[in-house]
Amino acid sequence: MADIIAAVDARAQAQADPAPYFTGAQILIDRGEFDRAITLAARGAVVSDRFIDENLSAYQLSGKSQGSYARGRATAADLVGWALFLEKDSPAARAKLEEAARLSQDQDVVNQFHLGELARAQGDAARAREYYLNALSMAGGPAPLRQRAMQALSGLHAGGPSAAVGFDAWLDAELTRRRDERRNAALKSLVDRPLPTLALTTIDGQPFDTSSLQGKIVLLNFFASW
Amino acid sequence: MLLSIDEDAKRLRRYLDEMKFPFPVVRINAAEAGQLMGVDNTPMTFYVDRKGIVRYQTNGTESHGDSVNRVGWFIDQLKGH
Repeated sequence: MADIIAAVDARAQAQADPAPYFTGAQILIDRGEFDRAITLAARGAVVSDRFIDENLSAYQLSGKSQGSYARGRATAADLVGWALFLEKDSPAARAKLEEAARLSQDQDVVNQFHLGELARAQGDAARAREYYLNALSMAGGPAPLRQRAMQALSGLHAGGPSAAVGFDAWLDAELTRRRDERRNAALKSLVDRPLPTLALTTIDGQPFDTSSLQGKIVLLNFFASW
Repeated sequence: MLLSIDEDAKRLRRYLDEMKFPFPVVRINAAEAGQLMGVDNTPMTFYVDRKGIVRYQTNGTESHGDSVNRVGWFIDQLKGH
């Protein structure tokens, strides 16, 4: 234990990036040291923010500073959430894993897998299926983890709504559908792009000047009354 | 801010009278919303930071138990960085 913390600290002295904290947290999780893993992951999140702050000019040149804060925090939240799950604190685990999902925009394979494991442990087969399918429809993640997701889905298949369909055929169809949906959504997505200039009117039909929105945090909710 | 794609102004007014939203409501042409923002199904929500960059985009309604947490969470992220 002390040797892991010492190794992380030594590495951190040499180079103040968060990676050793996250790696150390994962090792502690593997050894069943959940509380210490949580502490280390939390420190990693702080180090991650500081690292980006200190190297902000480099990040900004590539336009990636916003995503980088989120990525570091997502990694930390997922590690903490997974440790909490293994400690059997389901409500806290769910909160942290869902936070990691928002920070990673539901696109981290490992995090989606963790959410699947949590849902399955809670007996929510439908949600578990969604998460495992999400994970497998994306590239990446360690091979053993992908295999466990596949096995979990196979186990859930027999009792599910599509049990009559062969597992392989069903899985193939589901993954293809998700990949297509993701690709279409990504093409249309405005995330990380400037808000277009919109021609708006008030309820009474007068023009609405959108310059009043500049410099503010804005939540735009498009709706229809039907 | 709520943006309605309704074409029927009367129907929209009745809806707003009933719902009494505490937010400003404006109108936008449905075709323009589709073309500029990719709005092909409502509701859709965009979270825009102070620099005018769209940072988050969500489709559909939030499951009721979670919505305050989720909406508040997105706004907190924008306030932070």
